[in-house]
Amino acid sequence: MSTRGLKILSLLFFVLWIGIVFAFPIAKMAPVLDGSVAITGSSLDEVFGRLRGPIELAILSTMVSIAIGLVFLGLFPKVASARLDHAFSSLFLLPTPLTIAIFLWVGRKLDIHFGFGLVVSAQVFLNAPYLARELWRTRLSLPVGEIEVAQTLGAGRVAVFRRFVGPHLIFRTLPVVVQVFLWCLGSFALVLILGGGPPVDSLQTETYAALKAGPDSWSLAFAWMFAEWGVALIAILLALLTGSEREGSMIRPYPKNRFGDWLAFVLFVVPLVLIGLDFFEGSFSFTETASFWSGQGIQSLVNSTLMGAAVAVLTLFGASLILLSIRTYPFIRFFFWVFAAVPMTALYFLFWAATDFESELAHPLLFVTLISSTFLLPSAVRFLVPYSLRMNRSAYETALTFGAPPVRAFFSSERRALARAAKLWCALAFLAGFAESQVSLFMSRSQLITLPIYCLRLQSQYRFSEAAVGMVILFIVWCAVNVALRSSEEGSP
Amino acid sequence: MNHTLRIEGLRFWIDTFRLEADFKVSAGERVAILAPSGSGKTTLLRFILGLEQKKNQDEGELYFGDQRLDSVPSWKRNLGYVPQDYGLFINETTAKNLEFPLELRHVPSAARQEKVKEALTRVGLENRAELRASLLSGGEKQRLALARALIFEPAALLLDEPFSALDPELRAEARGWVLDFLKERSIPCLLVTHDAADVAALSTRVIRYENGMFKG
Repeated sequence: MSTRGLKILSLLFFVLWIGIVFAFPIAKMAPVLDGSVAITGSSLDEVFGRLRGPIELAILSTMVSIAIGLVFLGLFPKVASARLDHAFSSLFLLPTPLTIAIFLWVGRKLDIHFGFGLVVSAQVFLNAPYLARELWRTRLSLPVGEIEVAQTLGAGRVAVFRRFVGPHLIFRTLPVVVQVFLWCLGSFALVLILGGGPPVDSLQTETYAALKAGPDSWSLAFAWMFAEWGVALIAILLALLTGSEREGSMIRPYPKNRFGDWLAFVLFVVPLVLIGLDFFEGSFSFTETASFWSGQGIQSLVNSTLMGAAVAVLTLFGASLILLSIRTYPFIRFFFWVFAAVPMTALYFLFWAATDFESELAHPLLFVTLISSTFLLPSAVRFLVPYSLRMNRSAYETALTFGAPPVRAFFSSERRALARAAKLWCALAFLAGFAESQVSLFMSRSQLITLPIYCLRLQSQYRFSEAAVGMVILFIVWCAVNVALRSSEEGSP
Repeated sequence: MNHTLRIEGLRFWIDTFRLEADFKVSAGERVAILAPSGSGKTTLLRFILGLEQKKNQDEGELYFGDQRLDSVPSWKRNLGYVPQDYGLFINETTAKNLEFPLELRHVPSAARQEKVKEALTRVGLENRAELRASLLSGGEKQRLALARALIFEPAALLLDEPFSALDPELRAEARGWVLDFLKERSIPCLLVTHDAADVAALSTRVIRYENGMFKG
């Protein structure tokens, strides 16, 4: 394909993405907009009355995660290592059913059966290490050269903190804190199962409940969606205001630390031990595990595997085209991020209201896979942007002088970097698709059983023996993806 | 007042590497340090600047005039420094880079602006005042770094291969700038360089590296 053809294809793909995510559901919704989705005064009152709960939950989880992250920052010289950094990010990727299994066990041990404390603990378990990792990376990316020169110019500790460390800390960590806050605010399956129902709710469980109740509650669902959008916009604006573009903050390598490496190993093994304990307590029976291979279990495994593979390929292909369109037509960057900032709940709502049981859901796996890929696309673009920015311009230009057309020159000069980026993203996207539960629960109206949904259902019915095989498979896939990420991460931006 | 920079019997360890030095640089002297790579030239400058701290096993003293500097924090030493990569605040404008040391010394705003304007004119960057430092050319960066190191009238000037990133033509021009600046100020200047042309053009004396020690 010629360069011009590829550019036009990238533009068409961008238009298609906007069409699938926004135009299609809005157009399909138009005929049914008979007032049932108008936000009424009573629905607004109900939302405002109950908004405090999800926000309190998200704030508390985020604050505790920050506090633990700061403790880890204090421990930096003693424990920081590249392996521990990786273990921290691995925990963040732990599939929801595994996290739930851990905290159901913890809850039973502490005699806490569902509720606020358990949800906060689970969210902190996932987010605190991630925040600690970001704080470490902030420390490793401090502009040391500038700070030293500032000291020679007369800047004391306070001036150095005010002019360099503080802004750097805000620039690097505030977007991550906002991300964690939004994640807690929109947390779905974790709150749905560990929360045990009202009064422990997130904005997404509220929206889900309203949507599930039928068209009469759509007004309320619409109001919840706007509530999430509003809170998310405030948080995103805050992050954007502080996160202006800064140069010169490369992350230096971690110092070698054997203790940190051991701690990483322990962190990796702890979930396995806790999940194992969860299985073998109470009424666990090996004979019941066999039901996985004969019933819905094997079908859910096939569904999840297909979904993981398809999501990886589709998002990689789509994100590459979007990146190309952004590079070719710079105005697209603005539109892309405006659309990408719309909360998932809004999109779920649009799709929920627009989909037709009889037609779209005739192939629920295809439908959910396409929607998951579409939703994951902004994350793929965000992931691949640093790689595209690190392009080896000199090699590219040399290839041009040899007579290679631009596309060929780009691929030949960037082959290694592209292969690494593709491998990393495919591993992440496969895990995201394989362990996906949110879109499947929301969108398929219980018609599609993926492995996480299979496990979540059995967990919520205390049928742990039957869930065991699915959980082990989820754990193995999680481990395999993390090993793949670890081996591909060397030299990544 | 005595404006001599003096190092006496320094034995400074970084892991297994030992840095030894014993020399002085008087006011108005421009002393070049010529030594092979890995001999500790930059570490020596960093020690003088207070960016490398003395530990229990280290020996020796650092003086400026009669004042002992070893235990003085780097931000109170009042030494001008131009590192090899210029150490510019790349996310700040050219003018903000120059204002920074004056702000720290509580120079009133009007006087500060005046001094910045004067320095910008002096180094030919008056049209670059509001440009982000990262966008300056190599020669402009070098001039800005030098102007910033001198704008607060430091007690001494330390230059760490400040011309290494410049092409031969710009190097010659930059040497001229530095020489003009230093001739106006009677302060000690210590210059680390690999280039014999820098030594010939700028220095009044050379400190050599002999038997693992900087001496002169």
